[in-house]
Amino acid sequence: MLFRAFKKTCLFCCGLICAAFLFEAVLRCIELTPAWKTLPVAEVSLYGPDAKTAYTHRKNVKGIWTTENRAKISTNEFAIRSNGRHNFTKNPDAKNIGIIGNSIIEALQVADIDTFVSQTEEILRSRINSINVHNLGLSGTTPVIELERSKYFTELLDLDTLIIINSPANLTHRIEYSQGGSLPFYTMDEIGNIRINRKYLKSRGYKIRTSIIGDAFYFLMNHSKLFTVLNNRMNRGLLDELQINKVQQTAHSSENTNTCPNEAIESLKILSQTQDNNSQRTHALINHLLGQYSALQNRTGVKIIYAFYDNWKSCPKTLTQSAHTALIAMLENNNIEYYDLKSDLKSHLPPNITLQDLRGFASPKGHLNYTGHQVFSSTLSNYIINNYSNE
Amino acid sequence: MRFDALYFLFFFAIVYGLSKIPRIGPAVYILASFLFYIVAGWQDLALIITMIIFNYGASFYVSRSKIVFSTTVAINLATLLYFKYSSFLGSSLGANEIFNTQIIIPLGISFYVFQMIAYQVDIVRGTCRQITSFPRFYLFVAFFPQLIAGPIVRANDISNQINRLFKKGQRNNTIISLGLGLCLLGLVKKVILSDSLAPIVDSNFSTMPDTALAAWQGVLTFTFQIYYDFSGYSDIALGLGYLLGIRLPINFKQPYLAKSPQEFWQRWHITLSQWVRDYLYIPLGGNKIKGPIKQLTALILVMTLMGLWHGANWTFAAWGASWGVAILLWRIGAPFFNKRPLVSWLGTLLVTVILWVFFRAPNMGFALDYLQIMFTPSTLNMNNLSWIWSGMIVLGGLHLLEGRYYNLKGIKLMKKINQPFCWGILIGLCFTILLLPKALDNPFIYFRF
Repeated sequence: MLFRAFKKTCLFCCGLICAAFLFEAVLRCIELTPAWKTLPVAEVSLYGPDAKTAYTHRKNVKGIWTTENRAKISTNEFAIRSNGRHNFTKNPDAKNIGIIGNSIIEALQVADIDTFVSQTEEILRSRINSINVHNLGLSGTTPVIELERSKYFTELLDLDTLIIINSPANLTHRIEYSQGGSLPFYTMDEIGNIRINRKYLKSRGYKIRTSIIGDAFYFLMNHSKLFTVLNNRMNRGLLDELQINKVQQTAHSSENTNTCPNEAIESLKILSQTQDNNSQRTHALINHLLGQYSALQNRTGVKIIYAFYDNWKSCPKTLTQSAHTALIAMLENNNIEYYDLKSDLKSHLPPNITLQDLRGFASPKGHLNYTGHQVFSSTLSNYIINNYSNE
Repeated sequence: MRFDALYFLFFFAIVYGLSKIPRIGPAVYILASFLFYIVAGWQDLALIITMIIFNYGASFYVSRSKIVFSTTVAINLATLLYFKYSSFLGSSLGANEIFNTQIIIPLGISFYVFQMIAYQVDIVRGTCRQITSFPRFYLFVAFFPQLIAGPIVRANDISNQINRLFKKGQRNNTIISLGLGLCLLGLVKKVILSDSLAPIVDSNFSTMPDTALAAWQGVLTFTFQIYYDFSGYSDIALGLGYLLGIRLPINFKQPYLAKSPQEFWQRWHITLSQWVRDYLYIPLGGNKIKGPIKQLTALILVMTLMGLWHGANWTFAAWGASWGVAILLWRIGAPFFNKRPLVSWLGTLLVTVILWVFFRAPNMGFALDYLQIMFTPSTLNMNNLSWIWSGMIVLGGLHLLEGRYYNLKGIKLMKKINQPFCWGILIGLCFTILLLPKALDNPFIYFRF
């Protein structure tokens, strides 16, 4: 009887294993056909641990992004989005431009060749010989992560020009990002250097991810759709469905595109004022950050351009102007070029299209859509051609 | 609770395991049904328990007094009217847009109220035995696999099965592979097919489509979405019930293969159609009504009420009434349609697809504008045609194939492969499907009714 029970259990387990293979096969079949645009797929697991910035893209990952808009995406051997070419080799004669920023630049919602970075490269290549434009965008990035990534990639890719695209709010609110959500903690020393909290680096999650077990899991994720689904599900929580309504309610309540958001007003006020302690502290931190960019510029010879872009509407003009004046002054003090990307984008908009129309796919909120990427690429390529084609 | 959630799998596994312990099976089912509905909220739970107690008490007197019977049916209907149609009746403009707003009606009220009305009528007619034990009556109404979105069960369907369960602790012999297979089939229909179509439908019905092609694409997608959603739910309900030893009635039989509107309703939401036929249409005179005008009036009345059962909105009334007209048209044209089955099938399918516009549209104005766009000639975009329409053909093919496994042959096959190895495959596939992420919160469409 015991033997029969054992035999039944073994057969049952074999069935489970077969189911796993079947599921894997089905997911792979879906990805091979146009059905991937509609049917369930394993969303690519793109990120891995990083000692300096806590997380970054993993190298040579390919897969499908499903949030907002489905797109086939990949990273190259430098762990950045690939622009559709996987065999990038360094050429000392080539010009290298890096564009850094958050998920707007990372642009996971469109295929590699549809990102504005890739399109900018295409446009520039038709005008300038031997030029590469690298997508250094990363979701959820903060000014500190951007700085670290700028230092790393400037040397790795021999960058000639680095364009940092940021919103004023990201700069003021996240400059000393200390806690919140799933992002790692940062601490600041006496001279204003910000680094990842030791507590985070010692956390179980981080340790596992950087251990052999982590390597094994990432290996499995690279080779198995089932493991990717399992990993995504673990990240979301096994009892995810119990909380789905709550999440949606929160998401809806924060959506209002017709008025200037409170976060924007607060950010603009901090930038335009220097009287109160909070503003003074933020100004000091921004200056410290820009100083480090300036040092990078001097050390490596890279030309750094700080571009500002946001999706705010109906913000008070006087406040916006004084905030931008303050920003320009800080950038000039640190010998960094200022680029008003938002104004430039407005001048490149097609008829009957507003800045708000550049974002969102099915809903008006979200990341850059296809039109958005086209407008961004024409604006940026025009700016680069006009200002740097001779250098 | 939702059948397409991973936590439900764990819940069901515990219920199934506990139900295997001798003598406690019925108690486990009752407790599980209670817990299953708690998730809907205490108010909904209080309402259903009150309704069950009331109907249980009334069932002892309905056959003795016509007044008690009428009052019982009236109270059931009044409860449904109050909770589901109060805003609609208060102001005809205050119709509920069920696809766009939060569900505010008590979960499953349309199903359990109809079930209890049918029970009281059957007792008076003498076509079913009264369920004298309260726990059995509770299980008859609130048995969790069929509680929220049907099938609408008659006492005759399951009272003997429940009695056997209580008396001897016996369950129907179950072919585990068949139960699991039905659950897997339902999950594939819901999670893989219906949920994938939902974003396309939502985007087509959130803003008016630009071209006739886009409008047709939207409504055809919805045609498959609602079928795979609701029949998926019914398959899971059947499978779960079967695994727990209670056989529930089949609710769908390839409805899009129907060759007439009347046949469509014999294949779509069968238990509701039968309820309407037995408790509404036949008492009104049924097919014995003479004269096309009287027939049309009766049909339109019955079908409008059936439409309104789905939701408090003029769109549902228009949907139901249009079905009434279609059924009558096919009756009048029977000599023509009977000789041309292909034309009849295509005509029925076309009527079904067009009428889904009323079902899905948020209001009458939108529905009429949408229909206008569907019939306005526009240029064809062949790029979009290729993969979306080939997808439609695949979905149609799957619908056609259903008949090949949803029959006695399929059951025999499942009996043949009723082995631990197959259970492992089926459970493993159910589990992995439930692991898939849900980008949108897409509860079963019929939960809204």
